[in-house]
Amino acid sequence: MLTENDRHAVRKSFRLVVPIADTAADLFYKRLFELKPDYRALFQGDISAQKRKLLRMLAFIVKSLDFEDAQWKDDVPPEQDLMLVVLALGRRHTELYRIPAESYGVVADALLWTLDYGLGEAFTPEVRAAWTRLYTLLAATMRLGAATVDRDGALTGAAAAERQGEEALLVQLSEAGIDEARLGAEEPS
Amino acid sequence: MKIGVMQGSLGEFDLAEVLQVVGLGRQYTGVELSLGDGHSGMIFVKSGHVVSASSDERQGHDAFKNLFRSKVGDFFVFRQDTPPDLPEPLGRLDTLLMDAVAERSGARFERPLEDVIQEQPTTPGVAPPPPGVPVPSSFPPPAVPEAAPARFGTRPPTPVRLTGSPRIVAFVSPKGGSGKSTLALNTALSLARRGHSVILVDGDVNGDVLSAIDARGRAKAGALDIVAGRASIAEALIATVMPRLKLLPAVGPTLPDIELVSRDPHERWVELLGTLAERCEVVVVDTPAGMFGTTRAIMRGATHVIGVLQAEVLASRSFQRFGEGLESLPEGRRPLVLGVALNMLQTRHQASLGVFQGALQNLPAEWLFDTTIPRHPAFLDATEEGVPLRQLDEEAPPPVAFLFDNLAGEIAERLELKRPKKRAQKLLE
Repeated sequence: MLTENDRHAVRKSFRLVVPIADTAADLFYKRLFELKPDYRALFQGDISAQKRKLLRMLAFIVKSLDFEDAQWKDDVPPEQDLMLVVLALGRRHTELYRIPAESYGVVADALLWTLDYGLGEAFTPEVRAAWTRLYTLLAATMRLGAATVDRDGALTGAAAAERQGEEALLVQLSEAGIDEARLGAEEPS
Repeated sequence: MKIGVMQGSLGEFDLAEVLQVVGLGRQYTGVELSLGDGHSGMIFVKSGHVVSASSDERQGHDAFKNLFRSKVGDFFVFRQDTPPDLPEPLGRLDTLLMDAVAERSGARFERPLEDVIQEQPTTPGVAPPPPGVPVPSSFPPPAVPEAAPARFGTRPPTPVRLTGSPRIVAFVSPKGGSGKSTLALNTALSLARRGHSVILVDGDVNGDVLSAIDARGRAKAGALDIVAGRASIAEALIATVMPRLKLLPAVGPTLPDIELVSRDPHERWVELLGTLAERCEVVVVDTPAGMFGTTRAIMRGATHVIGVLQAEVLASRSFQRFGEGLESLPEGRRPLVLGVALNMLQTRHQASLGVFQGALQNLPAEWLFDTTIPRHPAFLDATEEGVPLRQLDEEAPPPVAFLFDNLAGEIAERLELKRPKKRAQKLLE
């Protein structure tokens, strides 16, 4: 159950990640491939593009959690809605990339390890618990991506989900204050 | 206009899980429910607030709770334009959800983690630590006079257990990545090789023990499923090629119920570990990183803990939590410290050696095991092969693998395990 305190802890700790975002992304994939060397084959070629995607998604997630209770009535465009974007992400992982379900646990481990390593003493038990709960909820959302329906203009297929997810995330890096240039050259698509 | 988002069966996705996911969104979202008992209902959520709930003739809070009575049925989630005259919400979704789930399970939800962390022992007759004598705030902590009480206030590690009493040893560490799973796995194997019957329990939802031996696909169910009451020990326990070693994975093929991860059902862990201890000589438990949450639940059920200290500066700084975590457990539920294992030591690295020296100076002398485990590439090779270190090469295991035999020997001695029958062999016939 993600509480208001959890959201606050995640937002606050992510501010400390931003200045070291490129290093954090390096650490994350280093740890991931240390835990599961065969996952390297899932990412074709240079890892820079993947690092960028990871940071965009993290920045987007944290930003989405950043609203005051009093703003609950405000609307957010569907393409910038955390639930819809993460559902689409889950669908992409299942249908496009064929990511195994077991990877959720490994990714959690790599993410928490990275935050622990990067944040040091700022990664208190409360902050760890908040990130763990957030990740667990996001993993559940991605699993539910398999249950998304195609009706009246809802997400229509994995390719549409890909577009929706990517478009929503395009601006996240700069908004979060992450210097995209430090992440390496964009891969030609 | 209704725009469908997702649909499915409540058997596959619990209503609480679906609602938590919906709570992430900012849309005006409806969850339509057709329950297995013929009833139906609707819950509207926006930005983590429950706007309205209806169920048959009921409305509001009563309806919201009523929709949790059946675990069978279907859900359909849709979004639509936010109505201009949005009413005041029934309340925050997380609060209503906790109440409803607690009522459904007939149990009070666990207190938030932050409250648990603040918990102090309240056993009658046991005075809290006096003001001004806090547990050390940094490690290595400052030197203290010899007459000072044992650091961290824990009891001395002099396990006095009658033969036949349970031995449940949890490997714990405040920091992730310190090598708990590696130590637990390889030590359990060495204990089994010494002739002791061992059950290795993976208490971490990440399932690192099975990852280390590349066997995640083998788990049909796990400890967390048993704790949740949806699997039996017999269904989850896995036999190994070592006759005396059995594995209890953390989870089966799917992640456990999202509620379970945050609820820490302490007493069920105590019960599970106690039952396992009746089936073997030693239960070895790998725990998640940190001293609270699930680790705390496991420690309450353990008879002993082994602290894993990574020989690295960050790890040493966070190791103060080891003592604090133990200290915060109620006296009757506090396991004995069997020892502290120094892991990933790099003898050519001054900072790593500094941690070793700090541990020698500042931890109670009897805590540190004589055996220290170095950082060594053989661990990566073993992980890549998906085998414990000793099994990397049956004929000629890497020398570092034998250190776990030493460590297991020390553990067996401290646990006062009955020595397996000696089998001395003369060199000449």
